[in-house]
Amino acid sequence: MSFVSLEFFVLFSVTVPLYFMVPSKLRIAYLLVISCVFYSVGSISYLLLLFLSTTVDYFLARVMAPAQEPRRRTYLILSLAVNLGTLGAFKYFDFFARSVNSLHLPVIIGELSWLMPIGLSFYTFAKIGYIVDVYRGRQKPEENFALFAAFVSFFPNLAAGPIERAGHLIPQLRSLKSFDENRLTHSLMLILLGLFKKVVIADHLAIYVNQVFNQPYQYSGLVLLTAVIFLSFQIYTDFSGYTDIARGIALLFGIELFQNFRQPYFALTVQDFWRRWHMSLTNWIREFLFFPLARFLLKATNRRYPRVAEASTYLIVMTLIGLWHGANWTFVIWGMLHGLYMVIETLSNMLHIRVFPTHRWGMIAKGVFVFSLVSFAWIFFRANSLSDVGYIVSHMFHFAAQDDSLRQSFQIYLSRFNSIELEILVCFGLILGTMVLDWIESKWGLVALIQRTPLLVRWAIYYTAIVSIYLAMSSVTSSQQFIYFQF
Amino acid sequence: MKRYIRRIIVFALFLPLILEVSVRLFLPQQLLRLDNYFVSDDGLGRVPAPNMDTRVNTGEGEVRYITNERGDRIGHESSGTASLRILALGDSFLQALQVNYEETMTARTESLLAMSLGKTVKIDNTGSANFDSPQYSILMQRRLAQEDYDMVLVFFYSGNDFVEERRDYYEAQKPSQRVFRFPPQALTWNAIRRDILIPAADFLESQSHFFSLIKLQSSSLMNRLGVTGHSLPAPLLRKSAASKMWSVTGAILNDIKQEGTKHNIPVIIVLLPTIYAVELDKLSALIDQYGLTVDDIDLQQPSRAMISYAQQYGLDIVDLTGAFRESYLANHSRLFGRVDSHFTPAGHELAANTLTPYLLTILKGQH
Repeated sequence: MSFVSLEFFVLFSVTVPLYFMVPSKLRIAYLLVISCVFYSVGSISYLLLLFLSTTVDYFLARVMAPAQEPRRRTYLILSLAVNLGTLGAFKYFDFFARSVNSLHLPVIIGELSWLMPIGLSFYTFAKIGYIVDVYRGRQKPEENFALFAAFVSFFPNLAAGPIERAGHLIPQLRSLKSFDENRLTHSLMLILLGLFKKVVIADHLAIYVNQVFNQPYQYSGLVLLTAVIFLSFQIYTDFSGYTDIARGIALLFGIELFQNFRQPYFALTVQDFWRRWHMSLTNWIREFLFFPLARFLLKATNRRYPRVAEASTYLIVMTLIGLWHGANWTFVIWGMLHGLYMVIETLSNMLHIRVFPTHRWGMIAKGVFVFSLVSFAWIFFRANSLSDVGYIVSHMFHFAAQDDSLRQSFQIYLSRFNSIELEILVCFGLILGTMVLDWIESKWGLVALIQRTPLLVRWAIYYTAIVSIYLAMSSVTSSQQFIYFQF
Repeated sequence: MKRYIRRIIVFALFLPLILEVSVRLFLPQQLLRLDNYFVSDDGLGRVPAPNMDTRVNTGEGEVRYITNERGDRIGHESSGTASLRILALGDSFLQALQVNYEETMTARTESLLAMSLGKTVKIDNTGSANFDSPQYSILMQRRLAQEDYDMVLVFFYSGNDFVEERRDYYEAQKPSQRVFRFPPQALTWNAIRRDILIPAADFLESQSHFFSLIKLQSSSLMNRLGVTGHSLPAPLLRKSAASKMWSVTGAILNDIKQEGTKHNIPVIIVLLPTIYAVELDKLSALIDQYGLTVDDIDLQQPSRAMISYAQQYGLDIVDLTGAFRESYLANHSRLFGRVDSHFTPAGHELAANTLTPYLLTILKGQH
């Protein structure tokens, strides 16, 4: 269920106050029940899948911990097979079948056409992280099934992360905190910030992005370029907005989820971008995929070609990250492109190639360059097909003199003020606002800064945010689902 | 803790006021009480009030609203005589309280025809909000018995002009009288609702933009939860395929045509599209809002019905849906209002431009 829906608001308003009235011993059970309720609205059949896969991992972890090798490894492989098998069947089988069938081989593979359960990619990774940690002896197998099930199905981060680690979330669930007014204020501020990013910024930009990306052949030049820039900020504010809401909701229950973003568009290298973007995924990938793969490749080459091993690891891992995001060649190429950026960065570091001067403006230019690379890659992420990508890339720099198409393209926004100039100003103002919010966050911490301001200023900020969110929710022509829900 | 709760209460108390101001500024709602613009009519229920000269704002900006002694919408310079007279029948889309008379499709068509034919043309705009197709038939009989016309145009709105019942008579409607009484006459739920809640809601609805918006939003939530029966226009729902509205409406339109034939004048049916058939993003928002799927919708149903009427009864039909959709797709033209989703001036202009060549062909064919 989307956080930005009336159903969620109604359920949330009922279940959260009740939580603080439930005796502390029963709170974990209550949390589990409401997580199931939130997950099952609209897709009750997938709750069974979640329950079954959680039960399998719970028991496998319990029998694995005291077992000896090679039995331990067998349990690990069994768990990985169940988790990756489920993910593969729901998410990748049809993609695989379509790709094989497109080769026109004598064999035709039938498609399953199963709808992917919401959050499958996220909770599968959380469970794999748990089982591998138990295998490595870094995590004790959880004895309390309700607690383990609550860790897997905790509703704020179930649908789209952050991908939590058992060592971080289970201890917090074990010692749930009682009501605290400061925490309530902090969590409501995070929710408000997240809603603002999602509803006011992302959904507004999405109108333009959807218009252009769904019919790219009608546009060229500045319109395509503007759509690509808007897309970069739409994806960021959509996903980071979701994360802020998830973190805010979790904080209401006294749970601190991982931070998922740290001003990614301030990154000065693509590698730096990935240290700031979807951090819970990159940390997971680094620990469970990047390092093991890098070690394997180094060993396989007898440590003779460390740079080749590093470059290969980047390419393989980023391709897999692309595939994790979606079963489509556009996502695969998006991942590969990021891998390629990282390989080039590694090579240029190795050869001491410095394109940008090290003074302030040089750094700004470098940041803009990295943003351009990332934005270029987003085209693959968002386009409906590779032919659309081809068109956008080949036409986005076709500029014509006295071209009024950019101004005309903002017609879709026309509100009661009937001023295209105003609509253009609003869109670019929202982008600038996003950067300012990030800048404040990096300097002082946004929530902390607001909490330090005088009451009246604070209230003015709250009122402005609430009014903007309400008006945006009331006027948006079509409400947008969170982008990362599809993964 | 007490201080904290007190602050939350104060904060919450100011919020509706701030939202009211903001909604008024950025998302104004329609506060118009239509009762003021209509009078009771024995036979048609209610009709536009005669001899009005006032200003109306349905949320799309203020317009001048003038009616003649019969309640027909006219412009401030309208003349009564013309060598070509056309009777226009329709509902709120024809009455067009959202635009000035000179911007309406009838006024524009009038001048386009006059320019092309080189003679004076007068289209009597009898449009009345809440009219249905049976009322078009009743009014047409009434007018043709009183005056001579050269043509009849029926502006048929595909959203709600398909009806399931043929009627020859509408009882005169009286404006509702709701009085606020405190204390209520009895301490029962019905009495409290009648004496306090409904009059208070009426008052807020006529004064508060925020209340109107909340009411609109809550009605969609209630609908999704299955509490109320609000829904998408029935002619657009696939489940309406077997409804008797298609055959009943066809028969009514045939009656209208026969009446024209009796007076030896052509009758042209102009099919006006809904916003959902034109702006597909609006449709998808509504599908989400009502918890429907794309398969529940059949946008072509009204147009198909018209084609079948044309074949069955030999009706002359001009379907504006295609022209509106093309214009929207090509230029994102704002053909429907954002607050009040009737036609904008651009919508009226497009309708007139699409309709006029067709009328010219018929009129020239007559001579």
